[in-house]
Amino acid sequence: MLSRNSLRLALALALPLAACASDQAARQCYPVASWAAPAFRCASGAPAPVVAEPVIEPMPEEPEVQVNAETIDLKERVQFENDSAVLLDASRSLLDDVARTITEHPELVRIRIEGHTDDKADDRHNQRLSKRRADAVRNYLIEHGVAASRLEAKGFGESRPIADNSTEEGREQNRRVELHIVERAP
Amino acid sequence: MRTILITLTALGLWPAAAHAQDSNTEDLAAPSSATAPERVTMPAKRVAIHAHLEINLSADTAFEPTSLAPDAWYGVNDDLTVGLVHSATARSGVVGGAGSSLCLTGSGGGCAEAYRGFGLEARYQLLRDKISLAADGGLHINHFDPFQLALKLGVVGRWRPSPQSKLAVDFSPSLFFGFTERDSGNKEVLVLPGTVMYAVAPKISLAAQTGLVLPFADAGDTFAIPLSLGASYQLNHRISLDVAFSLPALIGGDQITNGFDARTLTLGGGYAL
Repeated sequence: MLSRNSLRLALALALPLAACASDQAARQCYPVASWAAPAFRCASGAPAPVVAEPVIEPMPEEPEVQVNAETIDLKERVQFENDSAVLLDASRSLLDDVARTITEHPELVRIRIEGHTDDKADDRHNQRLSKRRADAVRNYLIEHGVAASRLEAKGFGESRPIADNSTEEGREQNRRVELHIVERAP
Repeated sequence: MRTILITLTALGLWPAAAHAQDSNTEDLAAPSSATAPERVTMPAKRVAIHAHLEINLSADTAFEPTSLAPDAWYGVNDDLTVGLVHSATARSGVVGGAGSSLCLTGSGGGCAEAYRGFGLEARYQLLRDKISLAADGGLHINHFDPFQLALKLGVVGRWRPSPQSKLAVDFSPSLFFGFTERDSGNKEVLVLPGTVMYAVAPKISLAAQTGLVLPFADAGDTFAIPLSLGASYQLNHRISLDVAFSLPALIGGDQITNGFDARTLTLGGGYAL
């Protein structure tokens, strides 16, 4: 009986370790305190260290907002409350930078704000949600000094995914707001 | 035998630790935003290992039994997680069991055998919002001799008022159905644990758990209302440490040791690969 139990235990402990060989750690997930383990939180966005480490050499900061030929790229994602068009406070400073950048670039005559979702809900819901989120960004930029005539908002729902909707990470990438330059002054 | 078991445990856990060392070159950072909803399942392809040292601190039987209970969880995909579990915490959701797995000392409290059983668990994520909810179930061998097999059905969930809130509430109601050796006590048990966690610092959370353990047979004499107080420390984004002092039956029926006479200490460590 004792040796049989030993074998059972060895097999039991070896089983999950075999899975380790296929470790493809999701880079943006980390465990959170819980007695009902496992509990995790996953999100996309720029990583931040848990403990502040001393900076050895000053690194030039990458701009939060980058104006390209056809798009205005954002270093971070614009974030909303879940299933809502209410902007999270965490995204306000990013949008402040967007407003400032657009104001500093008068050659950007017209900009289209595009809202996109993942495919979790039905098409109509996603379409409305993406439009409301695009509108929310447009309204915020207008409130912060960008002329309304320069901005248009459009929702694309789940129709234009950029990643695999079958994974959590892919769905997070698909839930996004993009800024496209529609018209640029010569 | 105990030496063999300890060695096997070490052999089982050491490769995981070594593997984890290899993984340390990966991104150890957390997302800058704490706004994402939490989940009570593993991310796809991730492995988490927890080990609990469960120590009986009851007056006349201190440190007997003392048991070591390793749990391993694997994310099959983003929604489905499977686990091989030994600890009382993982099997029933109730912190504070002693003698639930590899018995290091003592022969009472489930430690008649050095290795009494294990559970195979599966969780499927149902909701991931303010409330994160997963269906939870599994097959549990409570004892090899006599062979007590039980089916567990339940849910496990976590509620946080807002993504940035310091408060979280965990709950994991479940019902165990005894399949075999019912005459030896392997019958239905309803378990209703609830845990409140409050982050007093970014890495430290205090926790309090209570609930109800209700065997259907002789419920009036065998029920238990446990109480556990403790803390969880997130050393970094892979390693966590837990401690809990428990009164497994703060209030309980006449057939079980209750009140302050039954006490346990649980020390836990977790590693997410």
